[in-house]
Amino acid sequence: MPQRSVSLPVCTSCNRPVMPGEKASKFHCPSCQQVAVWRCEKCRKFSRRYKCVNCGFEGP
Amino acid sequence: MMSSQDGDDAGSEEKMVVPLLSEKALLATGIRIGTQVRTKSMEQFTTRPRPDGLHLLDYSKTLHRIDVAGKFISFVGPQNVVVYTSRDYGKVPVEKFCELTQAIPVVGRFMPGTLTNPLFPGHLDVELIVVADPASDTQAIVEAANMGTPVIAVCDTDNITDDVDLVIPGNNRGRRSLATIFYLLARSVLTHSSLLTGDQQLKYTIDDFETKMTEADVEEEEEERPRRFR
Ligand SMILES: [Zn+2]
Ligand SMILES: [Zn+2]
Repeated sequence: MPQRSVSLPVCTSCNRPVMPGEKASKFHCPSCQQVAVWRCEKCRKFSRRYKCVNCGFEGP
Repeated sequence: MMSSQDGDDAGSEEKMVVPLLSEKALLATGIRIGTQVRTKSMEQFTTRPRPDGLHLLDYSKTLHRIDVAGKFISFVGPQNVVVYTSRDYGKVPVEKFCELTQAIPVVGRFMPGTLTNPLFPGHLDVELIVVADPASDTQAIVEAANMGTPVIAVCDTDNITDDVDLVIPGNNRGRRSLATIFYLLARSVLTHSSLLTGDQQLKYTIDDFETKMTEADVEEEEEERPRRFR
């Protein structure tokens, strides 16, 4: 079988890969709009903090 | 005891927040008046409680988040944004906001499938939703969570912020306060969309953003109030 690699997006809060079909949210940083913020289903559910790597904005 | 409808008499009369709105006038709308309950996730937005136990929101954080939320909505494009309130007193603020920004208003009952079911006639395919109160606007938040649609929510001191992507801390139980939040948010969206300059005024005043209630409505609201002290 040929090896295929898929690069999954990573949750901005917990750094775990976000699985396809997961109820994650993705948006551009609300403050600088420069980088994508991913929030995995769990981090979203538990209202875990995310921090923009570009401008330092912290949400939610 | 002070209720969510009361303002407070702090703030400077000279310091202007936006044209025609001084810091004193802003605080008089009750925008920072919270509840007796403070959730863990709202702690970062509050100042020390008043002697009577009422939690207060840090209104400088409210203004900062209104600015950020306005940028967010402007970036996504207001025509791709649903603004929802289930409460009667949220209706006018939401409708006025949407009239000025071209966002999509949804008021009253949030019909199941609005975001999740493409076969539902009222289905909306949007990129962002804004809700006035996560405690009462649950159906919209559940559907946004299922769709992965980002959520901006006005949150009071007792709100749980699960599945919310951007919190606007503010008193969402007072008619005047909610009107003020949506008024300032409309300003912010239009300013970030370069449709309004800092010294220009909106077509509507905060008064125009406020839901006017009959005496019967006010009585109903009084009856509902104890739920804030759960
Ligand atoms: Zn995560
Ligand atoms: Zn950023």
